Amino acid sequence: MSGTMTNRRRTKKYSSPGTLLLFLGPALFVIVLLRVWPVFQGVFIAFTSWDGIRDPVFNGLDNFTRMLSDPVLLTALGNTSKILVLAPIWILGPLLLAAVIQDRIPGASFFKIAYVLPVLVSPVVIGVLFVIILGPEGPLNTALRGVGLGFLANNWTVDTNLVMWIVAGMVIWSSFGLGVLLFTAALASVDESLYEAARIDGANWGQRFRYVTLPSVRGVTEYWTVMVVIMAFSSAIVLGYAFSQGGPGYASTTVDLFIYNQAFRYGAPGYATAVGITLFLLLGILLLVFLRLSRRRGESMFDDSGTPL
Amino acid sequence: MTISTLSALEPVIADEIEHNPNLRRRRGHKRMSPAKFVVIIVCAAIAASTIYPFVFMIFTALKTPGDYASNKLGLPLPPTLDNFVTALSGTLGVSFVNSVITVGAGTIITVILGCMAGFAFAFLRFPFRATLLRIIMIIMVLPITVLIPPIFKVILDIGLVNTYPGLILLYVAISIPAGVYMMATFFMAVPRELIESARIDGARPFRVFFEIAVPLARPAFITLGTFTFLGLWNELLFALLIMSSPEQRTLPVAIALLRQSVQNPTLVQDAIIAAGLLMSAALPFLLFVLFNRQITQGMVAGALK
Repeated sequence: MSGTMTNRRRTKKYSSPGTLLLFLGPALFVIVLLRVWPVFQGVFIAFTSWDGIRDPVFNGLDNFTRMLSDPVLLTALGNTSKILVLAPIWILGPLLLAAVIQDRIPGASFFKIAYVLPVLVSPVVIGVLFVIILGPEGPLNTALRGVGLGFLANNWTVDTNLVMWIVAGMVIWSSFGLGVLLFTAALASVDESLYEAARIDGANWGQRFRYVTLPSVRGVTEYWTVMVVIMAFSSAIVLGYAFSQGGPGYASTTVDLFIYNQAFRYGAPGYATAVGITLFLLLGILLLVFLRLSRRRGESMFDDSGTPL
Repeated sequence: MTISTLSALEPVIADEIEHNPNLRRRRGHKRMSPAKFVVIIVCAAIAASTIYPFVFMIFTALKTPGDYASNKLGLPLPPTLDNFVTALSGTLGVSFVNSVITVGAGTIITVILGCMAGFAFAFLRFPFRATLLRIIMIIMVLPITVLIPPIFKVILDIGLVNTYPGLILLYVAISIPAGVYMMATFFMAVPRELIESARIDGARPFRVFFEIAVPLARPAFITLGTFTFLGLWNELLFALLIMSSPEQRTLPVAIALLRQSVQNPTLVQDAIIAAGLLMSAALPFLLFVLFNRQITQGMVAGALK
């Protein structure tokens, strides 16, 4: 029996090319055309000057020297770093909330649903909604005046010092629910008896969190950390566009919005591509390092028994 | 106390709990401590921060612009649907239809192509299969927003700017990596015997796909479909670039442009904008009510595998 199996496997190792083309072809075609090819084309464009209309012209490292001395890019990087400064809250907040929800506090499932609401809605809706809420005559200022705190009322959306922190807050506010979902899903599979054991050992909540919860969800915490870094560089764009369009001036222009505006508002798509591809490759390296470090599962996920279809 | 000593004790203690009813107290059933009270207050305050803006949005959408000006925070009494009529009679109605067409088509194509490719990864055999799936996972996680200029150039080069197929193709490109990945992991969990038994009957891959894989995958279609629809329904940037003429705008584009007239507040009233926002947000909320479990599954799919 096993002898014939090996024989057959030797004669037919792979599925027929026609079948493969039929099933894999369409999806791979779209992925290669619009997800892979633009990366390679982007690397090429990064070394050219391209105005978006005529063909790109090779200009060596010009885009990269421009990057190093561009004050607006520096401002944009500074703005994105304001989001990154808040990353610890963004990473640990959802974990703590999930741990508390897992403890079955009253209202736990209600809280979980409430936290997901901003994740469901378009960042455009959130950006525009907060324009209304934070407007000069908007409900926040009205409420502040109503309770005698009128001196706190502010023209929030045009306050240069504040606007980027508001955008950073919105970025976190609109995505922390996703982290809560990830962590509650991970915690649901933690063995309850570990907590019982810790409790019998006299561990308090903090100790149980430190010695049971944290080690149990290390993998998801690492994953969420990588996601947070990627989102910090790539998910402020729509909120920023809808809320303040990067202004006033460049006060809330994050790196991703900088790329978009350079390409489609200031007519420098070649330069924008150079910045974008650099950022993309750096995030790619970060992700690959993470995947290498977290490769704990050595076994193959494929079941290759029998002959192929 | 370390985790290793804890897990070494685990079987002994679990056994003891099993047999000693006094120790069998479940977590969370103790009398509420002050610390726990504070925790609940904090959780509730965060929940209020995520719920209230949407409650405000709904209330505002149901007030006349005049009502809203004099009563920003209160209940919409009497509620009115005038804002929706105004919004729909403008460009928002057309934009809503455009969103349904492009997002609907993008979702259906993603589910079909994702199902086919996922089937291939799970049941067909070809070189570099694991590497290829890993690359697709990496493409899924890396951000698309920083690559908008070169991606837009491809759409430009193949002449699909200002066309529905252009935006639909792009929407498939946005969601297909996650689609392939989710369907592949779904099919890999299917018991091998189901497929083997069909093959003994002499079924060709095509028949196995239609008669066994597709019927089995129905719950996965709902997960992938709702998850994809949500993501694309909320997409702004590519729609803004590819569909520039007013009659082609999708809903997020129309809303973002409405906001630009906020700088000139006499043009569009906040109450009417709120009605537009509610038109965009209502569908995701409704989907979440109907498919809560599937959407949650879709969102955590990448992390737990």
